[in-house]
Amino acid sequence: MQARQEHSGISFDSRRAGYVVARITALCAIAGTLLWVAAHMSRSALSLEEAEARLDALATIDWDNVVDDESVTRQIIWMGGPFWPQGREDGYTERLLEEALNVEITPVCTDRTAYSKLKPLLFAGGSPPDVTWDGDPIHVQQDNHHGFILEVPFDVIQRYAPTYFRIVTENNGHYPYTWWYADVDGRNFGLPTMFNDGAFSRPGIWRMDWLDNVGITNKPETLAEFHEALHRFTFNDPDGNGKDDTYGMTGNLTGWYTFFAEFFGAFDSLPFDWMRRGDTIVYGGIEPGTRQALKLLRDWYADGIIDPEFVTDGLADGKRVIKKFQTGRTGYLGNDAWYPKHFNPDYSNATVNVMAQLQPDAVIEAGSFPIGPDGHRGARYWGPGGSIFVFGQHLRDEPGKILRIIKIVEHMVTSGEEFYSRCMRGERGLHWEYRIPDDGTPGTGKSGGLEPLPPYGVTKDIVPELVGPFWLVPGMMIDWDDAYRHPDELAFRDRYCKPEWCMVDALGKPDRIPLATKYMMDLRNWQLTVFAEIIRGERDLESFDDFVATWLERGGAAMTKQANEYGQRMIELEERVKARL
Amino acid sequence: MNQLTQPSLWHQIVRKRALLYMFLPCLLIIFVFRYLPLGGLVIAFKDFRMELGILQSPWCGWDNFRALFGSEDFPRALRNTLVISFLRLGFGFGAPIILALLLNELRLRRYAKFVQTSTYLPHFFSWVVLGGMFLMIFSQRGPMNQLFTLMGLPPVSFMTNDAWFITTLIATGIWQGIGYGAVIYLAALAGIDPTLYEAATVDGANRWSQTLHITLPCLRPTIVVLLILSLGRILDTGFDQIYNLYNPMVYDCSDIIGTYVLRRLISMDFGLATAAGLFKSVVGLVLVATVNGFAKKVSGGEDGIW
Repeated sequence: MQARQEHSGISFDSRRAGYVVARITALCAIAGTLLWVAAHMSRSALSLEEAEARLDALATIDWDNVVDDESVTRQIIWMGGPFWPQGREDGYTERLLEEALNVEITPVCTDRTAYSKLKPLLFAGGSPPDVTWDGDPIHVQQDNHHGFILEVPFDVIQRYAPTYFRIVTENNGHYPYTWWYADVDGRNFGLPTMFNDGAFSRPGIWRMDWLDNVGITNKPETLAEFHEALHRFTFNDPDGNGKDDTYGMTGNLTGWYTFFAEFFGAFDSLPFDWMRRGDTIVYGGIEPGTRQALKLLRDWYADGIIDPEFVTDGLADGKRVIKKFQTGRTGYLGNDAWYPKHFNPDYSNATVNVMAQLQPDAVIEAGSFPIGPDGHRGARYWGPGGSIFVFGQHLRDEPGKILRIIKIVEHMVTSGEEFYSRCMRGERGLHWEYRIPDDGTPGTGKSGGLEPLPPYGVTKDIVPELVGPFWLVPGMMIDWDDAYRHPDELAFRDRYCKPEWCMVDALGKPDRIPLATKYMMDLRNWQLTVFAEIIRGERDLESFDDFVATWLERGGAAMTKQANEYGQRMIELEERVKARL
Repeated sequence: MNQLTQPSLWHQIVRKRALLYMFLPCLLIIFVFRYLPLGGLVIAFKDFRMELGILQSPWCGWDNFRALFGSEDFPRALRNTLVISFLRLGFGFGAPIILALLLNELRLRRYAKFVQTSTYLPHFFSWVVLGGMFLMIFSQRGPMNQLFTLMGLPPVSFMTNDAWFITTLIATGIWQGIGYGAVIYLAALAGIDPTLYEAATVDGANRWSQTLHITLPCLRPTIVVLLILSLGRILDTGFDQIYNLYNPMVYDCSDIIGTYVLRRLISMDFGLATAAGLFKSVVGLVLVATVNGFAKKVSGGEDGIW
């Protein structure tokens, strides 16, 4: 024991000295490197003005001297919408376009989660896609803020894709949202697409057998009739099983865009959007109509006709909302009357078919939006503006590629219905055949439904075949697409999904203003909490007034001011684009 | 003489170079993946534009931090993070220790193995799966509430009431992590010299006093190290779990720094996200250093991680 202590005592000093020297050297090295890096960094950092100017310059090309030599094969990396993760290289559509336009396309296929991670990684990692899908105008703004993307002036698009330009501008009579989404401070940053389904409203769906069981003969039209039906669904044992196990309806608190939208609509309110009131734009969430709608929902909740789980039912894409309807827990499914999803008898996952298994007695039918006290009816819709395809800033070294991509788009809309349909659906006789041979009457041939031919749809998924750049065209050629819809679907759409019941944000999407990045998401989450608590009776109705004041204070006032500026800009853009037709 | 017994540092390096070569890849990995990325922290002080890169992006001083603390949401997220973390620590830290002690006392080895495996299992489920399960179990008319009804208790809104939501978070968190946490203590228990127990038995100590006077003191260093480490992670509290369970009704009490940073990253607001991350790390470092110093002082320099 004694010896060991002595031993370590002796060795301590020399060892210690060695460590101290090593430590000091290491610290000096680290500090020196850090200082050098810091000096280097502060020297190479730009001022804010220089940075803006540099980014502006990076986004601009002198288009006058750009030509596209069509004999050159263009390699295009194409990151489409994140809806077909099972897509792969060399699909049918891709080959079709590659042959037609002398291009080599490499598609990047992801799902939504992967997309939002992959996109910044690709851009930051120095291998950006040539074409990138941007779902929302706010993404175009962000891409431009970071200097990812190139301006593409209207002149260029009009020169190389006049038909596409006209189609998108006229937008089936729904102007102006399309170009507006690709606009950053008056400059155009991409090719917009259209979303025609967004132009049709989707009212609620009723359990007709339940209405019958509780003694109601007509589908509810007014708020009072809605209340009566939902009340009886809750308390009059509509399924006749002797148990108190039903509710009128549930809701989707997670998806703000469908959150009891038809009841807010009845009071002329879009609670999460910008609304035009005369010459000014106001935020719907703080309007008196919103308060009235909240009062109504609060009373209904207290009455017990809204499932208390509306708060969590919206999680997982709102599947539980639909499931509760399908399993006979609720008798009204709000805001969802879309034929392919719920009524198409040929689609095994459609609600009619699912319910035939789960609730054999069920009869379901679409209804209409409730009429409010002042005669308003309708609900929030995305409108027919679609998403945007933007071009990577690195293409400034090969701007001919952009022209070729614009030509692809033009080619899709000008090469006739057959070519367009092949891009969208594949080839008749190879991928599919008419379910009912064409005899010239509606419901046969194209509109009678398509039967996938083996191996597609049996052992092999059709989607990988079609995922090519076809992400670009959907919704663009309305008549050509409608030709493939069953007459029943078209009749359903005409009867229930009236476009005049669509209430669209005054700026298309609430996030269209730049300040939305800063305030909107957090304010919206908070608003959902407050509204849910008011409906559930955990807050007074009077706390709505506090909500309004706080909303304005916490960035709402600044956003409203900007929304009005942007409303003006949107009108100017509309005039500018229309003058080009 | 001195030279012979204690060669100089250089001599040691030369003599043990084989070991150092073997260590080199690890050092390299740590340097490349742990130290180099630290440079990216300057983004917290920059108006970061990706196309200009980290170097060229303009400086913005403390703007990001000012925006962070000037907003409503970050201070709230910070508060929630601290509340949830300390509750987790208070209720959850002891759980694996107790489980390990109980397992250690079990005579039936086969049963002990079974319990250990089944408590360990939840660790391998992702919260995406668990989240779906718990939403179902704790729903208004789910199994949990049916049980409550059978016992004559009123139903509880587990997922929408602030207090119950936090309770659920912590309880399910403990359930998921307890088996995994116990493993390290079981390892430490296996390392305790059996002669100590034999001596205690001879002295007439029963199981309880053996646990109290032998097992726990022997576990102390492990407990202290794990406590310090978990304090370092105090500001990143179970993001996966909360992200998969929370809903607008409980945003006010469950929006944590992790979810806040995610929102900022989705909107490509890298400056704010980095500032929040840097703040989180600094707090973690300060906590670890303080608690470590404290542990050393109390134990007279025996415990602690450095």
